[in-house]
Amino acid sequence: MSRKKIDWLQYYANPHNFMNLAQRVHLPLWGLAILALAYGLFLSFNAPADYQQGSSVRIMFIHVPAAWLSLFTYSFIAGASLIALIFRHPLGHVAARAAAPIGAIFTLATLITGSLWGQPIWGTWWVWDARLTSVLVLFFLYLGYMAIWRAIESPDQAAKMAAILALVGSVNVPIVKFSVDWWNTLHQPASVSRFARPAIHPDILYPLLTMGGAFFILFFALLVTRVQAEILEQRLRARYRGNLNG
Amino acid sequence: MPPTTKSLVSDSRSNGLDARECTVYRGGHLLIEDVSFNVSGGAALWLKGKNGSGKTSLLRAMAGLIPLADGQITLDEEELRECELHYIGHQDGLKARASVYENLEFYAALFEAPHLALKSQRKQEITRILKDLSLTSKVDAYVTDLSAGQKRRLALARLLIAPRPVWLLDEPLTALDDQGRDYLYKIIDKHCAGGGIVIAASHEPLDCATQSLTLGQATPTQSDGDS
Amino acid sequence: MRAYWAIFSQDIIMAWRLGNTSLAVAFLFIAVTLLPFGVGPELALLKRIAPGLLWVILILTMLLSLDRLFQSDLEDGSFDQLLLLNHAFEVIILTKILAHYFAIIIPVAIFLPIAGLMLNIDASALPGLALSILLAGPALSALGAIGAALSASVQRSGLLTALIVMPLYVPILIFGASVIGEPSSGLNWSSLGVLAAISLATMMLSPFAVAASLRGAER
Repeated sequence: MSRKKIDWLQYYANPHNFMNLAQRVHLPLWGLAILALAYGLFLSFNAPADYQQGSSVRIMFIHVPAAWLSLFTYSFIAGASLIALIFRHPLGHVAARAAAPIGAIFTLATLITGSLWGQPIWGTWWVWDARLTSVLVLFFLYLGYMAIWRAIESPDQAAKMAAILALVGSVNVPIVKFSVDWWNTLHQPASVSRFARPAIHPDILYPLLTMGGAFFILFFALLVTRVQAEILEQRLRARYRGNLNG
Repeated sequence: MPPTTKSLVSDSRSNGLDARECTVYRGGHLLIEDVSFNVSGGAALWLKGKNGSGKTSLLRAMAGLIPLADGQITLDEEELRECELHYIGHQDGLKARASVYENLEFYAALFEAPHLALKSQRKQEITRILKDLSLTSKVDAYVTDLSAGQKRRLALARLLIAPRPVWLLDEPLTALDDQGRDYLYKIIDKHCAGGGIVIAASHEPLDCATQSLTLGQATPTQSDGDS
Repeated sequence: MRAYWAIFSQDIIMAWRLGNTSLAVAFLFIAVTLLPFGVGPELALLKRIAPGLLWVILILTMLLSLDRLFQSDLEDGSFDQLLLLNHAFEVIILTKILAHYFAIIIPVAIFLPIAGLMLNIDASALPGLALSILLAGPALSALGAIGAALSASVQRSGLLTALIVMPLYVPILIFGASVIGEPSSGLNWSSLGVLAAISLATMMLSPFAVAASLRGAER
């Protein structure tokens, strides 16, 4: 790793410096996110309807990017936790903690849109297909991660435990994916059709990638907002404690 | 005969226990800053200070249970946390649903004291220790059935099972009655006579201490003699 | 060596005296008894779901009892003493994990055939089922220890520990339940191999995560 990169990390370890960056970047990020989402939605509504599934296939344009982001966010949490542990970078813990609810929402959105998408096809609100089941387990990973932050009183200790959990969980994610896929092949009943995936046609790929990009930008916009809020809250708490002590 | 503690005074190049510029954080806050002191072999240091001044944290940092943010603590040039020592904290370290004998036997095995390898040796030694502690009648009683003072005495018994040069004691006088205190002073004196070092944090005066250190002031003062 | 044996045997004896072993076995029979009230006593149905169900009950038993794994050691200050020893703390943790395996999982595995017969399980499936549990057991203890260690300083952390450990157990449950296939086919030996491999890997790796968590836990 070049010295320059480490200096950059060190620079933003100071919350004051980060806040300066955040304030500059905050509004443009949100503006970009909203524009990208609008464009993506526009493309999605104008994409060709699937001959078999009709207009409801358009839910895929939310479902698939949400699934991508739910996985990306967990990797982000694991990466931030690793940096925080190895380099003792305090903002790493803050970023990971801030990202968790965002990832959980993306995961929940994946599950709900998956259910809505599948209902007309399967005739039931939930099936235990490989992808939905993996995402459901991922949802529990998020819940556990958020719960541990809340349960431990000492913030330093909570940060350390959450970081360890994030790393252990990140090793677990591919194992879960592999074993759930395998499990699904074991129990494949002949009658239930597989979760129909439309062929990747350029008319579909382009809106999909755009929505993916939009969600990506949205993630960072939300993250910057939440980290700012977290830093401000810490300052408030410190000031409150100072006032209490006279 | 159990072996005597490692004699520090006789070692000519020994400069005892040396602590330099120790800094400890707790819960993100600076608790102890730049504390330095020296304890030579055969001495007992009384660690004083108000509640929250960091006595427990300093002892735990010396034992290596929590990290030292800055500074160094050495025993004869070796890192203290790497050396063999006894630490008795607020908790007793005793299994509640095990008998007095079982608890001591567990520690005998845990410390792998060479003179206690045989069961017969252990029985003899544990019986002797319990007699000194006036716990013979409770030898098969579960720890939950002991009084607080008896539990504390039993926790102190650990010190005698395996000889170690340094003893770190956190509030050892708590819950001890006069007889218990006399016994504690006796074993501390014996330990120091053999060249061992004792560092004890205590609210109450420690009669056997040869020097004291007060935490929680602007600059820690180290005074010789008891206050 | 004496130290490790002392830790191992004391943990097993304490698990027994604190009632953890008995509770685990009792829960097995509680769950098995409740099931027919829920799904009906039809024997063919019970026979079909028995192997997978027994695995799920084992997982639930672990999830509900793991929070107690390190609780007493943390509360009475034993971990301080263990940390002070000359021995590597990670190896001590591994010893405790193995003690948990012998104290909790093996007793459940012993009583499992009886529970299985209550569910009209195919008798030929019993050896495979028991073997799958015995091979996967170390992994269950090792991964459960991670959850127990992370939430060790939290009071009444039962549900928190269950939440943390559940995603870790999903792959083990999948492979464990797959050992018993259709009654006609034999044991799924590759699944057994996977379970054994997972157990070895988790036994080697989890002590590091557990030790890191316990060192940071506030007493």
